[in-house]
Amino acid sequence: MNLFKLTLFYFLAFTQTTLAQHKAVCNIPEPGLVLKTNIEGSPNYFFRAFPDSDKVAYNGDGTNFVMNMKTGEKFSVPGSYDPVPLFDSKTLTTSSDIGFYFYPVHSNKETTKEEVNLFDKDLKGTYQSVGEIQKINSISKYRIIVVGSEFKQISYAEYLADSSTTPSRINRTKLKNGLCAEKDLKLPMISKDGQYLAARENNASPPRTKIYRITAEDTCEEILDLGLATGKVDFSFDGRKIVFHIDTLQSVDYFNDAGDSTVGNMNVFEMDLKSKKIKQLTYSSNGHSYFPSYRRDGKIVFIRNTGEEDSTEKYSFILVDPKKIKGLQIDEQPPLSTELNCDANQQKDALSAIGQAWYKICAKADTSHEQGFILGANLSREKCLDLVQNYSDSIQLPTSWKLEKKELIKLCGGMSQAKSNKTQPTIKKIVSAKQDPVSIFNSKCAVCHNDNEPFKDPEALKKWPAKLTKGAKTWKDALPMRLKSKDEAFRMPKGGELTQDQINTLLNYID
Amino acid sequence: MILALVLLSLSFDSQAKEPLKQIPCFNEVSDLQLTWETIKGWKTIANDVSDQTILQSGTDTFGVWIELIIAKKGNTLIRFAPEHTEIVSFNKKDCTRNVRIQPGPLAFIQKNEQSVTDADLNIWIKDLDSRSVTGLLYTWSPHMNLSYINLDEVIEVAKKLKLDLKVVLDPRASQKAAESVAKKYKIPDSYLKRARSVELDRREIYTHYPSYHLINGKGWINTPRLGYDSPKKLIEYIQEELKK
Repeated sequence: MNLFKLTLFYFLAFTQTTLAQHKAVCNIPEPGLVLKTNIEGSPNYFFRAFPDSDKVAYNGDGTNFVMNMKTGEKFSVPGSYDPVPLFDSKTLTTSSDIGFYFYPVHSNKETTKEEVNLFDKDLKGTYQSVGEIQKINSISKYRIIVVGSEFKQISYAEYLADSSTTPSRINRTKLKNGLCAEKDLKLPMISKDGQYLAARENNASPPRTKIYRITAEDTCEEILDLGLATGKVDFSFDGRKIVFHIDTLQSVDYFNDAGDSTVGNMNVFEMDLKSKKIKQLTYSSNGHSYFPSYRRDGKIVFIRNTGEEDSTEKYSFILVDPKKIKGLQIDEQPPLSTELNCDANQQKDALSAIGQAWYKICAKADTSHEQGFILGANLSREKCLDLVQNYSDSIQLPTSWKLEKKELIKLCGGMSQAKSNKTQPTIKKIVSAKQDPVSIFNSKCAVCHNDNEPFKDPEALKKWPAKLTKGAKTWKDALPMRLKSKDEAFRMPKGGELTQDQINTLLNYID
Repeated sequence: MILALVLLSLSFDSQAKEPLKQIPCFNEVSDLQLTWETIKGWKTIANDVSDQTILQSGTDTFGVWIELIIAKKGNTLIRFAPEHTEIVSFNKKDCTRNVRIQPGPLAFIQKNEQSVTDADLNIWIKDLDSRSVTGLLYTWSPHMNLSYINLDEVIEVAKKLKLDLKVVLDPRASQKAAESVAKKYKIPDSYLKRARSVELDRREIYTHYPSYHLINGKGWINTPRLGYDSPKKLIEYIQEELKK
């Protein structure tokens, strides 16, 4: 028995250590993170954020709750289907098979069935969403849509809610079955002003998510085809943006440049409805992210499933500020070490091997040499060291060239301390628009140009002989020809394209 | 070969916005696609929100899909198959190929887990064909409650319409949550098998549960239908689809 206990102890200790190591290497900072709260039990993915507070309404293990993300406190509210708050934050709506309920929300106690504000037996359906079509002082006019029980039927009702009383006084003013009845729409979500609808057009082949304007005749006029089939859409309060989750596999390649897909992760994207630009807000190695929901201040809450079955952090609500997520930013300057007796190409190979190992361990997939380099070059110093020290067997260097573990540690050590706190490894390569010329030369040119070109000295660089450019004697002559050439075989740099800003920066530097 | 190219371009011309013949490296792209599989017909799946046009097609091999990305920087042909995804980019200038191999779309599901694969679905289709029966494939997730609370309704609808029902689980779902829900709602063990299918993945159904798919010996009947339907609505929908 003692032996068993001892074995169990060591097994558990080993498992814990292994998990901790994996976490240290793989966990990356959440871009734009404001707040994260773990969820006990097994939550339903569809939830809604309260517009003006840190509260969220969700269903967990069959019970509706309102949780304060900041304190973690939660109180139950009647109903067993997805709860959605009104914009006054005092009232929660929930649908059922027999009608539609409005319940008051308390900040310090649960709500009982007896406290129901209003039960509307005439509004039957599921998947409700709420828009506020008018507001005068404390009185708001809400439009609530549900998916009804008839084929091609979306129903809506309008309610006047006076939030000056406690609980709010609520009365229905309109009921309409058959909104957008001319179309077969699925997963409809109404905009915050109640004038637009985002839904999946089921008759399209393949089905796509589209945005519609609701006409005075209760028909739907298509105004935008997203060109994609997304999860449920949420509109921002100013009506300018939408967010949704989508399978990365079906999306990332289409919007970004590098072309490597992650394997099967659900991620959150925000789209500017005017420019149609899409920004990825979450990244695959953090787990699956679902049902993003806007607050009035433009911040977004989504639910995350990390897939770690026994972890207390398996499910969480994550609040992010999309304004602070600048898209994918990569420092392309390889953190080359001066302590290693090898050239830039060899160091690049080593970083690529480290990046490929990271991807294999954390994303459980293979990636290309180039992507491996970008990942390796952007690992923090600490993560690089963790990886080399704990997973050295996974780092597969080119057979023609081998580095000892201690040299790889030196390579990680060469990464700047500053990098350790700021960068995140991602799988995509984006060239940052503004960089100083030396950084651009170092990141874009130094990897191949190993003749000690004086990138830091513009005067010396101007006179540096251009050995391989016909018609040019010095870099001053060669650089404009190479950077501006339309011939891809002649144009520099070979390792990737420069933005026009970057080209101008380099040309000004040696002008 | 010439006939095949003509067929391919006709297929493209009739279903996509830009004529395939005009894209750079048309011959090379076509050659490769023909060595891979016979496609069923291109459909544009994304072209409004990016600078690229993306076309996809199922093939004569169940579980294998081909996608063509037409972009300014060059074109890419992708072959999705259960075991791996092959991505071939064509250099716009000289049409040389850059080949990358990635794990299959659902490689994150462990092979030892109970799952429903493309091969399983293919066997099911053949069985449906031999019995001249229509199948209803239903997907559910323990994280979207309308997909399991009303599972009984789907079973009843399938019985009423004499459809062969197959129920599969969200491939990303928590196993513990699925087992817990199954216990509470008396969901049979056979419904706990995860979808591990390129066909279903390409039908873009994993963003929401439940989803409904009608299938017979000839293949899929409907476009994927996502989101809960009441029994009345579901019956109406299925009857309408089967009439088409």
